[in-house]
Amino acid sequence: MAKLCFQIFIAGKSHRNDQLVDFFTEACHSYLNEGIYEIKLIDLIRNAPLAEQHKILATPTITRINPSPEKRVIGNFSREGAARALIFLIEDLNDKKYEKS
Amino acid sequence: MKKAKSIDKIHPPKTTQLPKTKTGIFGFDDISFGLPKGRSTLISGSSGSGKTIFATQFLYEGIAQFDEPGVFVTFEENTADLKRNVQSFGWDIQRLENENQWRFIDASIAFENETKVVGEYDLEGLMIRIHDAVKEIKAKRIVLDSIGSLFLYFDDPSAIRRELYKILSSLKKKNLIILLTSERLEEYGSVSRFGVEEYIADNVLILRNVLEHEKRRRTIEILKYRGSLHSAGEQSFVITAGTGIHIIPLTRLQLTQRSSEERVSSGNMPLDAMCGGGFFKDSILLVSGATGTGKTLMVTEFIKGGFENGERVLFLAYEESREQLVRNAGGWGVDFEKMEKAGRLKIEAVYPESASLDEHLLNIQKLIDEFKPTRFALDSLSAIERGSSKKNFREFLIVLTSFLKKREVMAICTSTSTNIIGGSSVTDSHISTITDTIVLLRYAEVFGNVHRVITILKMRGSKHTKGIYEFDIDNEGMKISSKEFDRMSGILGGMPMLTEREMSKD
Repeated sequence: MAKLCFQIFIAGKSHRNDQLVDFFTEACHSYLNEGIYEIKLIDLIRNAPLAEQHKILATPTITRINPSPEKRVIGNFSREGAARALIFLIEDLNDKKYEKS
Repeated sequence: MKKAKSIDKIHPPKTTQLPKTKTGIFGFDDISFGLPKGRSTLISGSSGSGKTIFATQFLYEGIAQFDEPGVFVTFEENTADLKRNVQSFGWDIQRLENENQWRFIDASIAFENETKVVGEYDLEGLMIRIHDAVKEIKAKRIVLDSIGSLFLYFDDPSAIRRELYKILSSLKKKNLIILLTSERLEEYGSVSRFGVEEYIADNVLILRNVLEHEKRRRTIEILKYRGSLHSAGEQSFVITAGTGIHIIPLTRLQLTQRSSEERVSSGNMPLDAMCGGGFFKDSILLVSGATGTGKTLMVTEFIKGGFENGERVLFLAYEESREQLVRNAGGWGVDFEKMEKAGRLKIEAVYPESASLDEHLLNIQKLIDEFKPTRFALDSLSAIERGSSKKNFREFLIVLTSFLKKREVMAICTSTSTNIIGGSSVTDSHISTITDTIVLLRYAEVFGNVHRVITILKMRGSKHTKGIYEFDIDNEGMKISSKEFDRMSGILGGMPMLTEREMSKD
């Protein structure tokens, strides 16, 4: 089974961005089985061509690029918000294999 | 406009004026003096008003004419569609992309249903992409088409406004010329759909596409132009396959044409004599008469006169077909086909309803610039006037006549008066004031016989006979009698009466 793949797009280092990454990682850790997902962090300031390649407008944006179709959440969130964002990103999969029972 | 001009005279443009760059869009630089660097300009218009074409042309001409690379940020149409849509204008954007003169940034919302906004965000992603592209091709111009989509998608207008402001100010620092577009819902209503777009930009232009007398009329208006002179009011423009947007700057036309003292033959000797030795070389002549009085004949003789003088003549006919014209001319002893073969006559028969006034005008200008005639004949203005508003027709005439004068082309135009006998309409003041010479052709009835008479009503800068002369038409054309027609009076006023001498003949 293909891995779940998330990309977090941020623009530059900031406390808020660090927090966002932490919250999302925590949410994944508590909802998803280990080894079944991966998270890539992309700082667009150092990787401008990736912004063009992935057609990113707003930051922060988190995308699920695998499995397709691609889904995105835009904007900052709290610890609770991170869980809701994750649920939105995987709710169409209907595949219990990803989620912890 | 008069006001703006007089201001111009008192305070000639000083260093306070922003440095402006010509857009290269035909006619636009005449009304705006170009767009300022380091400033943003919003184009607002209803759907189909030509915003995207204007924006695309702005970038295209920047590269083609001024070697200024450009970035096109599209929020709506995808780039493949955009490229395809402007191909008909002859703009090969793919080539410019390959040459690193043009970059597209596709900022359309790609995953509309699969995207959710969960919290605060900024448009840093877009900003990074824009700056990357600007840097890469050393762009001088940028288009954002259309920012309305952002407002539609991200439902917090104040956040979008703040983010756009950030992007614009960073672009301004780089001294780019920035063009934004946005939609509006009504032609004469609020400037933009969300009511905030116009506050983001330094300058605001409005494009309109309104139905007037069952025809579409496109106009551009400069609504706001910070710290800068510009023409006020709506200016007509057309969109044509060859050139894209082509603005017809009426209010900036100035009567700077020189007038010639040189005279040339009208093609009819007695008429030359009536005019004091022929028409002036760059004058505009109006022939007014009821149907069948011989207007087209006068045009034919004018063409013949030009041809015999070794000139090139362009003839635009809006009332009769080529075949009819050639046959009629033949009946008056003039061989149009021979003249065309010699390459010095071009006849264009156009159906008047086939195009709007602006398109007719553009067509005439194009033909004149291509064929480079020294004489121009138009038969008839009345056909063109049908189905246009008075104001538009007057503008058409002013632009046409000033164009003819600029190119130093001598012209004859005909106008059909509605009354068979007499006739008040030399239509009407607005034609007559911009023509140099007016010739009236009239019917006069004497005891059941219809006579044709000719008189010169006005001729600028020259003596001319004031009398009314009878003429006949035969297979050699127009035969003007050398004797004044004194059998009636009141012909011009539309109330012909037999003169006393004529009455006493009984």
